[in-house]
Amino acid sequence: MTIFELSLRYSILIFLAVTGVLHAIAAYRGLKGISFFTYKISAYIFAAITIIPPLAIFFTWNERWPIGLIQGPEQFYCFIAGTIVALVFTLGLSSILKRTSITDDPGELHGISALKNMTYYQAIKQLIRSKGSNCSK
Amino acid sequence: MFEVDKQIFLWINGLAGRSAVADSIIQGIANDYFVIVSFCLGLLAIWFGSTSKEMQKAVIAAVISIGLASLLVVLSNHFYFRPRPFTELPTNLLFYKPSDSSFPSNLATILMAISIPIFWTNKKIGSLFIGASIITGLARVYVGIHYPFDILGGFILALLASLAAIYILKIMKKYFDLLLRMLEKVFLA
Repeated sequence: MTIFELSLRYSILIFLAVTGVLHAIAAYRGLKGISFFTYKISAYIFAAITIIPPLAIFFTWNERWPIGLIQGPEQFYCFIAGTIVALVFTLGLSSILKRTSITDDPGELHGISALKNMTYYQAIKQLIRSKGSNCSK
Repeated sequence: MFEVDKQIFLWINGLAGRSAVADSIIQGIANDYFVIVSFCLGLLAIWFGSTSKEMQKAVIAAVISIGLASLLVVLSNHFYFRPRPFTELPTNLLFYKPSDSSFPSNLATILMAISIPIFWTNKKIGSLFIGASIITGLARVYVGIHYPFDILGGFILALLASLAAIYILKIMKKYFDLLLRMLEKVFLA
């Protein structure tokens, strides 16, 4: 296995684990806007399914690929890449899936907590709208 | 002093090979991926899961600390090379053979560099991180790739890096507050 294939594998595992962590956090904090699911229990199950297998693979990495070594800096880049893709994927897909089930109630338009009532797309739309109305005043 | 280090190494590493189950578990803990990935996922969970600004600042301090600790490791490797224990002593080696300097342990340094800023802000969560760092350090000795002083040296470098990171965060507070406000505006903090 080439170092590129190993790095790709590493990044995909990070992508899965980060998606799971975001869902666990969404369920824990009640951030309905970033979860793919309506019920907390579904989000927790999804989190377990996406976090535990990648961690199990990382735990046994040296046994699986004894000569496959990703150096520290490459690990860092792969982690950042996997995290960014997971974040964009989670925020994007949840915005699509929840576009009708969540009404864009602008209750709190401040920080991550705004995503309790809105999807990320709705929050950004509200932000642009409020900026626009501030400019026109 | 190095004699004491070697004696402690021989004692800890001498425990290896007695139980296949214990060896497998400790190999998993000692590897280059599992604990560091878990720590980074932990930082991410703290960032998005915490409602406290101080915890988010602790995550920023941890990231700065990782950068500074890496720099200290590179500098240390530039001036001092210590051979790995398996090249000098009879070792139960449960790992591949790294060729870089044994001192300091890169992984132990980075893990502790993440742990200290978190501990500075939240003793409970920070203790978990520090405990995991110590266990990983011991695991690296158990599998035969580090002397105990490599781990201890890494922890000392991490302490220096963490204190520097916390100081940087303090003197550049207004810029980091601005960064947090900007991330808050786009719903990412």
